[in-house]
Amino acid sequence: MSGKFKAPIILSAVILIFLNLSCLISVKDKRYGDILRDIKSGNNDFAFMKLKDYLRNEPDNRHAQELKFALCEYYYEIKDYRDAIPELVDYINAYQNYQATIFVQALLYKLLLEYNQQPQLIAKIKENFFSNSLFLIFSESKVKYYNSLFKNKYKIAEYLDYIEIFKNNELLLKITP
Amino acid sequence: MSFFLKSRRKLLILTVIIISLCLFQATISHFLRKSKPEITQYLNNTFGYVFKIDDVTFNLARGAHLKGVAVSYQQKEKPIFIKDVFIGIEILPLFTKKVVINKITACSTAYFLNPDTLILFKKTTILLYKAGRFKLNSLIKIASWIPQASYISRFLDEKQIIQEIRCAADGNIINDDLDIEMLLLTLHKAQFIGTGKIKNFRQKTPYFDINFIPSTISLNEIAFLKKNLKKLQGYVLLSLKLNGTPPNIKTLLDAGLDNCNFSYRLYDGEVFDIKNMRADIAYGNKSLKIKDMFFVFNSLPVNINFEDNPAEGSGMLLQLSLPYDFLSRQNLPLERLEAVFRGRVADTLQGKLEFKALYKRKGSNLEIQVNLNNLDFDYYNLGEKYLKIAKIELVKNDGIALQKLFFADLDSILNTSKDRFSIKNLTCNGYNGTIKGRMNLDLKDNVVLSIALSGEDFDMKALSGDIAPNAEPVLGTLVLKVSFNNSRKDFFRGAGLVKNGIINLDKLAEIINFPSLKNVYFEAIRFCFWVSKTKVKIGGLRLISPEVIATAFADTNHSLKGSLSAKINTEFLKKSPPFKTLINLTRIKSPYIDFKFLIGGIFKAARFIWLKGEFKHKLEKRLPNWAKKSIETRLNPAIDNLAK
Repeated sequence: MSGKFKAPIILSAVILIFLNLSCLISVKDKRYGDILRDIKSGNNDFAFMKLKDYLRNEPDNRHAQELKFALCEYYYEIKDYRDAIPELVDYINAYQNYQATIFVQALLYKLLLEYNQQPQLIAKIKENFFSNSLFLIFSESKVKYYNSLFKNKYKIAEYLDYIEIFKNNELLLKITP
Repeated sequence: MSFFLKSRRKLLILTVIIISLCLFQATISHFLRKSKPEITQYLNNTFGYVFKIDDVTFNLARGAHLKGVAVSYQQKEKPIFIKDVFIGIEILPLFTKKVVINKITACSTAYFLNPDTLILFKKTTILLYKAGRFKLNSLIKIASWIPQASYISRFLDEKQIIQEIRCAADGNIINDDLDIEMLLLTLHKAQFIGTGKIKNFRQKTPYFDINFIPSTISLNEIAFLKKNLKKLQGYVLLSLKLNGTPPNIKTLLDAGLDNCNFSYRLYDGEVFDIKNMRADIAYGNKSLKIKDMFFVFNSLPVNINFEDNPAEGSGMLLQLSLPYDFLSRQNLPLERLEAVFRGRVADTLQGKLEFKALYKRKGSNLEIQVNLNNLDFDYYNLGEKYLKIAKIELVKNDGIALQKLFFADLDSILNTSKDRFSIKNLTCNGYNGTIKGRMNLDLKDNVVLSIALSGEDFDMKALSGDIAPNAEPVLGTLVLKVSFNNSRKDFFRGAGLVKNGIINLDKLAEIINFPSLKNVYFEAIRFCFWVSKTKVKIGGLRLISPEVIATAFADTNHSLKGSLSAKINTEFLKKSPPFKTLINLTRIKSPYIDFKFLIGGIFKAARFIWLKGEFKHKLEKRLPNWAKKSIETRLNPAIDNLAK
């Protein structure tokens, strides 16, 4: 192949492959796309119904973790504590090592405190928060972030002797050991 | 604006006013935020519900703003969640320490009727006037998902039900009651008008009593139906009543369908046309009744009655019948043809299926019933699938006696397409024999039902014990072929062969002094029959036995008409003294003597008339002339002695 045409041909091939993959992804994840569209247009309630249906029919889809978090978050936001608590517990058990799990623990902790439920679980969650070693180098705190499907921004700041959790820059929870 | 800019003093006054208002707003906002627990407690005590509020602020334009309000009947109940509530408060009464609310606006109120059904009140505005008058406006969106696990979802292209309704209400608040003078629900162009009352609306247990006047709606305005049924046309007259206390509000819905047409894609591109549908539908207390439903399915008119009352636990009843005028246009003497299913519908049809037919012919009614017990049929995705039935019962009731035939282990392949319904490779067992066959129902232009069955090795004793329990059984083994086709003049015909059996022919011995014909062994009895709307013909009846060779034919339309020819073995006849006398007298050498009978009477009570004259004439013809004269005087009495 002549050097002059090599780059455009390779580029065209890459673009074609990318487009096809995008089509495949978009066809496969049409349901996910629908949920995103509902969230974008502010129809969180309909997005919730769709993601619930998606999770029920395809519990192992590639977006399951993200959708499950959104499900927990929605129940928490509409104060449906009856449904929220088991879903939050379910999430924690299913996704123990995921980035968002700590925020789910925070939501669960807050709910249990508010409703004065399951004191043993409250103690266990509190223990979990402080169970990992914390290494701070030239910094007062260690910060992690998570953006949920419903466009809520979560932030956890771990200090030496306490932890603060924020939701959309508002303090959600402060825990001390 | 330039007017104000010109005057510094006026600008100063304006600035002071704006700052004062901002301060006022901020103060009230701060005060309300601090008083959130008291406000929550006040609401809990006033309404008896559990309120949870995220935040309370104040806005000069819109009044008090409650963010994130959850209302539930009890702490553990699923709440109604309202994203934002704006409470319009009159400013002046505030200075006299009075809170007068004149407007409530709720944005995004979500109520989950059940886990799969969401009722979203997008924006609800309630205007409160003096003297207790109120006006309400709301945009409601109902969203429901039919779960994939539910068997109904398999038949739906669109499993989401999304419907937008505008709601407007007008009325008065009288003490604890909401008196709704007018309630208007608008669904696109259709409007439903109602009135009613909500008693004790401020209490824990408000009582709803709302009635809507009957209104007509075009089926196209119901989005869910439009998405799942193609070429949908027609109207429904709806009336609705709501009575009761949440969450157990009783819904009573009456609907009258009229002139509905649609196409439905059953599977794989096969589309079925439903035309001229009409029905009366009643839904209430979780029970559904469909009465006098009529429609034309492709070219087949059908009547349906349906009942499902889960509370009673009796399962579902579905009755499907063909209209009388349709049956009378067919070539069949059928007054009634129906199928009745009793059972439940889940992933499969489980229960009992009965087919009933009333067959009327001059002077006789015949009811035939086929019972298919313990049906378990996977009706989904009908294309080609197995149909198995453990037990089949055929019941015949002619008003005098009930006859039953039993078959078992029906195995077949069911095939469904738009214009044809067929059962092929049918096999079935009964009476030691097996049946094979097929059945087709064509619906393209004319309705044509054709059935072809053949059976062999049936035990005649067992069979005749069930067909004619009071009659003398015929022994032997039966081979039978029958066919049915409603487009033929002779719609039902068949042929059979009974082999190596025993039959009682003593009926003939009642007429003529034959030797006993009680247990006549035969090698074969052959017969055929044809049934048309006006006649039943039996022909080609041929019995072959050492003693008797008989042929017969007859037809009947209530009265019987036919003839029987029998050749009786001469040596056998000699066992009877009168015949011995005759044979000796006439010196008959032939191995068989012919007898002819006419058949008359009715089917259940046949009469035989011996053609004695013809018998004598034949005998005389065979005699040589010289013998005739000598035995003539003895011949007549000898022949007369034969008859009983």
